[in-house]
Amino acid sequence: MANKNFLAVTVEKPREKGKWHRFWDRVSRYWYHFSRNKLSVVGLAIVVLVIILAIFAPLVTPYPEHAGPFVDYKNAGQPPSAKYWLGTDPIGRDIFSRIIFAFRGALVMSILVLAIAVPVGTVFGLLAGFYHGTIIDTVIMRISDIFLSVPSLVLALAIAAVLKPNLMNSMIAVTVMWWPWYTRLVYGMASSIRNDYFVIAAELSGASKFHIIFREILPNCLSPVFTKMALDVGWVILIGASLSFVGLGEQPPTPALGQMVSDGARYLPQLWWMSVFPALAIIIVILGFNLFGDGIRDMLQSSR
Amino acid sequence: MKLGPFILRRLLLSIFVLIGLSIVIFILARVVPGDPARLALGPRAPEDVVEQLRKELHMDKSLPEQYWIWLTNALRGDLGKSLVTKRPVIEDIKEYLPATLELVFFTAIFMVFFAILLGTLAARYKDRWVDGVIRIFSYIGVSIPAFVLAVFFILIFGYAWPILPVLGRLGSQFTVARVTGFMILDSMLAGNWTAAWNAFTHLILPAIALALGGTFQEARITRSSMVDNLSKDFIAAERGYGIPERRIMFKYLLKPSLIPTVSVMGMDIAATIGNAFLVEMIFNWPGISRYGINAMLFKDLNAISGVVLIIGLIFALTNIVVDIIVAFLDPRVRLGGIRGQ
Repeated sequence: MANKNFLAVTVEKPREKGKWHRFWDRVSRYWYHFSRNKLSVVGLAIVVLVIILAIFAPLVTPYPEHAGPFVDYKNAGQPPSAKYWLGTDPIGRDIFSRIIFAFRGALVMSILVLAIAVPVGTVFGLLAGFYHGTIIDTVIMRISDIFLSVPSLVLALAIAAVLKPNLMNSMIAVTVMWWPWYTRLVYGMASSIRNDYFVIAAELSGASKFHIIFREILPNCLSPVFTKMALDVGWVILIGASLSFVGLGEQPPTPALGQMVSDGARYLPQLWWMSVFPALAIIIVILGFNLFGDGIRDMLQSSR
Repeated sequence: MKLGPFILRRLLLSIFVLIGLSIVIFILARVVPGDPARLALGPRAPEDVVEQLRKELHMDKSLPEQYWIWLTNALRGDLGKSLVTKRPVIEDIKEYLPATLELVFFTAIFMVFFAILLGTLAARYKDRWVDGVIRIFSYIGVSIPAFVLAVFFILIFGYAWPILPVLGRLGSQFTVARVTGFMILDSMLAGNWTAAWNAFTHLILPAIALALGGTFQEARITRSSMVDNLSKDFIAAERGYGIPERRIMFKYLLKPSLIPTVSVMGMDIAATIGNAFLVEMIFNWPGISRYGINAMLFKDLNAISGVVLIIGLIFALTNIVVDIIVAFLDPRVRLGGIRGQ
């Protein structure tokens, strides 16, 4: 007796996964690629710690009022001790509290600089790439060449010097020299994606230029842009610290990392803790963001 | 494309970019501050004096006219007078530039030598402890700003363990007649070898402070490009011919592997010139960067624009040199005109 159903193979339908389940799947896949390098995890830990310390600075620091115009000559120039973990400066302010508060300026600076420079640079790069070979391409790319024709720190110093020295203007100075890197990065990708078949197909089907630039080309450029962003946070902090070291960043009494190092350098070697600890703080923060950025790069590259 | 037209094209491009840079500097020094004449003379100067200086600066003319006058003067070497030193800016630049060039030159030599040495070692002993140590140092090296390293050096070698000089270019016991402005060269020309050695010891710490970050980064790039090239067919062919491993390493592998390293050299030299602004300040190195920083702190606009312009020029020249070296290393660039990676 022939079994009429012998060909019927029961194929188990893939179980419909819930939205959360799928989301969680993706997160854990990203985490797998990110955490394969243990150094990236160390970087992430440093970054999270610095951000938390900066946000809750008034709560976690022992002497929050020391991050401003505060004077206590009785405890001036104290070496590191149980009371003042990292010592005090010549007018009695706690170095540890001031370092934590200085994180705020450094983080705000890197966030704002990248929040402005990245979209501006990306849009210019997209336009130049889309209008590849036309006058628009030439104008945008030659202007970006001009901004890349001087070492970026030199131009930032010059701009910050001409403007009034404060945190806002140092951010403007760094932003002005930062966008061309993104323009160049996106331009290279956009001008080659521009000739891919899916873009030509969209063009032939009558899609608007806006749609093609931002819906077809842009999504294919985003991964390297995010990678560069993650790697750039440390650089912005470094440039910001350099500007404030010279005196062209945040003005005293508000603490900034570079400014604390240069203040402390005047009291070497007696009050060595005044410059050594802020210097170590700069190194640790930049190292943290660099390791974190490397992890993001590995993650985006291998899960593509 | 032959090498000649290639260099010519690069030169033309650089001239174009430098003209653009001069416009940016003009806007920065003459337009953004509002009234440079008032700024130069201070708030208490009488109005008629300020008015006279405005005339002298041609501020009564239109902006394009002003730019044209400023540019033609700059091309003739007239960059105006410095507010701080009261001398023509070009004279100041002539005095201070050689010290910076000397420093940057030695930094570049240090960077290239150790980058290639460490990169080759890391590639040769891939995934062994040498490679690991270099990797860790490269992470740390990139994360230490040059000025932080300079402060540490002052603390260590200035106070704790004074084996190397930390301030200036030459010990005060020496006097060397200025011929070229390059201290070591001048000492040698004078036949004063102890002075030359002394000048060299003054160079060591600032040069290391400037070079360290770039050195490890370039060592990593050299390593990964050597490791990539090791699996290429031409290496397998050479091994098949029985060429000794050492000779393959240094003769056939190193040259093509250096192309990415040299390509980022331009960027690393840019970073070096930028960082020199802080490092010269810390080591009291009498160079153009220390001069520039002083100009910036005193809002000395003529000096600022002069310094930025001259640095733009130096940077353009280094980039051309880097491109020529890449062309020399990479036959694809030399013969085909594409920039191979």
